[in-house]
Amino acid sequence: MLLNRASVRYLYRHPLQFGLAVLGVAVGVAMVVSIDLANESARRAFISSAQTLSGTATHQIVGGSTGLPEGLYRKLRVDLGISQTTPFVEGYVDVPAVKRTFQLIGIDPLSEVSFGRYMPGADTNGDTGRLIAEPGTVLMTAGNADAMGITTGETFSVVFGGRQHSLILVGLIEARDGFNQQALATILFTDIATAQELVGTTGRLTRINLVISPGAQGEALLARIRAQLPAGAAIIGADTRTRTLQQMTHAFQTNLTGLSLLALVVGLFLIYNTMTFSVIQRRVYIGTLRTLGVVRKEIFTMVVREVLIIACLGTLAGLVLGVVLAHGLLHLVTRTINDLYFPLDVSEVTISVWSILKAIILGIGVTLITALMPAIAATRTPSSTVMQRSMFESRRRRRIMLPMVLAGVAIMALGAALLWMPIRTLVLSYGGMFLLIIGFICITPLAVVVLLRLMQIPLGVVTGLLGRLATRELIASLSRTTVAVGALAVAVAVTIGVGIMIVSFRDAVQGWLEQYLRADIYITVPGANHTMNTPVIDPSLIKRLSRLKGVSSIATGRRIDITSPAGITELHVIDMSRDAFRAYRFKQGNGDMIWPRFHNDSVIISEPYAFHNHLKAGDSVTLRTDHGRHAFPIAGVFYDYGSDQGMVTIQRGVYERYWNDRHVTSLGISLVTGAEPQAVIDGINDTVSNRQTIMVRSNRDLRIASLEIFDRTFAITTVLRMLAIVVAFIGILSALMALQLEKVYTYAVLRANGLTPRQVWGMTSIQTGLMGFSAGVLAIPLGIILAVVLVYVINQRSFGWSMQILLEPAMLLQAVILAVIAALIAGVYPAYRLSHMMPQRILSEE
Amino acid sequence: MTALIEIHGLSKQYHEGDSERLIFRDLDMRIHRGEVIAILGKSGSGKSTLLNLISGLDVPTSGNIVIDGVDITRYTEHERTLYRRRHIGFIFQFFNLIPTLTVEENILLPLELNASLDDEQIHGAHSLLEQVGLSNRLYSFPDRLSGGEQQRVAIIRALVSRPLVLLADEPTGNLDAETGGQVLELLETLVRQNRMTMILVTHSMEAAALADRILEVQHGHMLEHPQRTVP
Repeated sequence: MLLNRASVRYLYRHPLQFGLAVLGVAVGVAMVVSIDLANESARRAFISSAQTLSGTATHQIVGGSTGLPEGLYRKLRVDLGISQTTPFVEGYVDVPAVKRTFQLIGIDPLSEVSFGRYMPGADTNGDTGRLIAEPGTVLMTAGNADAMGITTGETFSVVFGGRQHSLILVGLIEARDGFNQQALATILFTDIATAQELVGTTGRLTRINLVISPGAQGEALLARIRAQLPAGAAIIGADTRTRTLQQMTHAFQTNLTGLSLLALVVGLFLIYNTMTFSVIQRRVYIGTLRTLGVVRKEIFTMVVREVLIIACLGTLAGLVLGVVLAHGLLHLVTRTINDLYFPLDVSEVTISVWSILKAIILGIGVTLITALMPAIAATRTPSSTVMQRSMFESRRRRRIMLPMVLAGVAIMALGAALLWMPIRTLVLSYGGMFLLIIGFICITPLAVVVLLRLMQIPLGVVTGLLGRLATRELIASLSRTTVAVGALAVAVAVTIGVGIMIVSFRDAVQGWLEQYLRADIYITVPGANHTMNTPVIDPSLIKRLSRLKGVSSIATGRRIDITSPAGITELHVIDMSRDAFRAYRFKQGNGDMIWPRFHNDSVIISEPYAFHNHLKAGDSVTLRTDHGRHAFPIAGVFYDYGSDQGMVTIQRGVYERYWNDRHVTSLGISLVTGAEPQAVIDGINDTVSNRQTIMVRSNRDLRIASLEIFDRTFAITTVLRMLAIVVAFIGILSALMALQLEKVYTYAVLRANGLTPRQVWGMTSIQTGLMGFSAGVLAIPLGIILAVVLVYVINQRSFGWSMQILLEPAMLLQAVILAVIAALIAGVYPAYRLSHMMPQRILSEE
Repeated sequence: MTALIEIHGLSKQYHEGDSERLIFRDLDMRIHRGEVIAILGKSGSGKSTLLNLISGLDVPTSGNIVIDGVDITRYTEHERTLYRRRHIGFIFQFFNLIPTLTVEENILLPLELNASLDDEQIHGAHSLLEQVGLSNRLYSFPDRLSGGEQQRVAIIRALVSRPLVLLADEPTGNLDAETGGQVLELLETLVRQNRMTMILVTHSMEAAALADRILEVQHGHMLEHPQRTVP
């Protein structure tokens, strides 16, 4: 009881030290929580949206490149008597009034008696019958109607494929819970005919949902349905698409979690530092308790109890901070998912109990584990310390230095071994990376001593006795300073490592874009994506454009997603000249060698696709065509940074032999020598006029836009890196405050002997500068190691991309400057306190 | 008179780098119940080491220390700690009060550790504080007390659980002559009143004068001086 009280009062009496430790845990936990909540919110929104759309369906019938014939639905219901079927026509439309993209879903209200059949989570107050009776009518949520500023009976505009259409709102949908609300917020419901007319697929369906009971009877029914399917159609599990899309973002989200954990690791060093210092600071106090008969277990419990208070408060504050931060990060996460994977609209952070529980377990559990060493050290405080006050630090340093270095080397070796193992598990890869970091931290004390000793002589020459004294004081207080230096070094190393990775990646993407984007002008339709009912370019337009002055040749492109029970494959259909094909860089061979096979029933696959599907040149890839499944030989594997899931690229001639689709979604226009791109773009716009809205971009603009997306993708990592620096900054501040407490008597003696407050500033600034410099210098090798791991291991195991490390000396120099500045800023307050102390009071108190 | 503390063939040596430093060699010693012993000696002669050994804070290189029939050298570290908690009282040169506990709490700490904190004990502790003139400082923290007051609190803390042996390491070493004199007087009064056994390590002749026997550590051996004769 009294020990508890003493313990709590100790924390209370050192508010800054205690507060900084709590803050360190809080920021670390906040980062993990915010990323987890942002990821989880995106995941839940996606699942909820998918489940809302699939309702109670167990299976889906999906068609080939042009969907399913309407007659199939009639055949299933009438001829086979299967009532549990629901037809859908889907497409994405833009609503200019709110500048948002909505999923337009065409349903058949007559096929079921209630709207709840389609949307188990929603009700409608509108007359669903009007959807059929009146063409061009829709249902939407009241929130969307409000946002668009319309009420029931009013019209609004949507744009599909660059063409504007008017729709009438005939009813509002009400969600039964928050999740459905979020899912419904991106949907407009209409009837099948309106949807078909709008997306240009008259007589075709996107999919048919089925409810099949499990067991032999269900299997038999599936077999009967399969027998009726046209070539190119297939039955897939209702969750296949959801699962595949989720898998797409898995690596991205895991990497974010990994980066967020780095901040927690930095925060944990701070806890270790605080607790180690508090133990050292109280060695006499703990020694006294031991002479009074307090056993080791009780000392251990006392320290752990203090840590528990810090951990609980830090975790609680971290949870609150994390939820706030998650709102900001959610936008960055969903923007990246939208940029790279699929359309997703998430407006609210979903606070999941599991995320909170994970944060509590992580925050409290890991903090307690971190404090084990200081707690054990406290129990080993010799009772005789109360009578032998001197030499504690140096003895401790000598005793632990060698074992720590050896342990560090062993931990790093273990980490390297984990990374070396031929596995693809990202969690283990991050585990290996964390071991490298922890091992590196263990050898930090020795490295800091060596660095400081090296700097002692030149610093002494430049700054005289004060410089030498500052360095020696720092070496004498290693137990308080090295962990903080280590924490800052890790934070800066993360900045270096991630920075090098991004620069290397950007360089690879830039090189790829230069090679890949050979045409002078690119044309796409707004809202084009890989789904079946995506807007396409009017075929007559292509003919007119080819006759334009200055146009040399036009290459066409088309991207579609092929859904099969195994997942989704992105198929890129190209029609380009042999010269343009030479731009492709292959892992083996070159464009000239692969070109003949590419024109003869073969496909080429991107490096990530080969990685994810364990394929190589010479293997074959089986795709569901409009004429059934077909195995295409792989002519080559090409480098590509456009999609982390990878793609299969097929020549249009080959595509048209197996698929009935003749649509084009993008054009690459090459100009005759001497033609002015802007003049041709003006000509294109004149030609298109009001027929269709298209996006025309010059080669340069497209490259800039692509790199903008790239930079946007990594914006979130900048936030995480900065937060890691903040935690490390807190660590340095905490260590400096600890040093100040410890060295206050020394400074008082120096002040009594004539040291001016300004000189005290100078001395502490030398110390903080040295700490920052040491951290910066140590961060360079660790940063490069992290970059190597991120580029050659994490990136490879996440996406399969090949890239070379690009080292920029300026970035390394910036990192050292960043560390020095962070340390100097952290040193301002401790220096202020020391320079404003009253030496006479300190000396009389001693 | 029965011996409370019996020391047989006690040796203690420390490793200092590559060399070894011998503090005691084959030391024999008997201290009787209720006796007050003063131990003199030069700095580094081993006076404090002897207190550490008797309290179980340190272990001898060889030999036995038997206190009230129990050989504490056979105890584990944990057992020695529990033994110290129950039977040893300590007074230090630098007071070593717990800075985050009040005067009252510092005094009650040994009782709480022994799980013997009850109203009677609390009353007894308060009486002792009153006896030393600090009853008005019950709720003060140590940093608000003068050196003399802190040492008086430390003495009460050492006595409150009525230990078998009281070990005092230079209790006046950090006090001025006048305050030191007052503290010594108080210490002697309380020890004699409670018929306690005390080993007092000191450099002060005045302090040594209150002892029943005066011993001096010289080159690892213990020399006994004629009663109340200061060398």
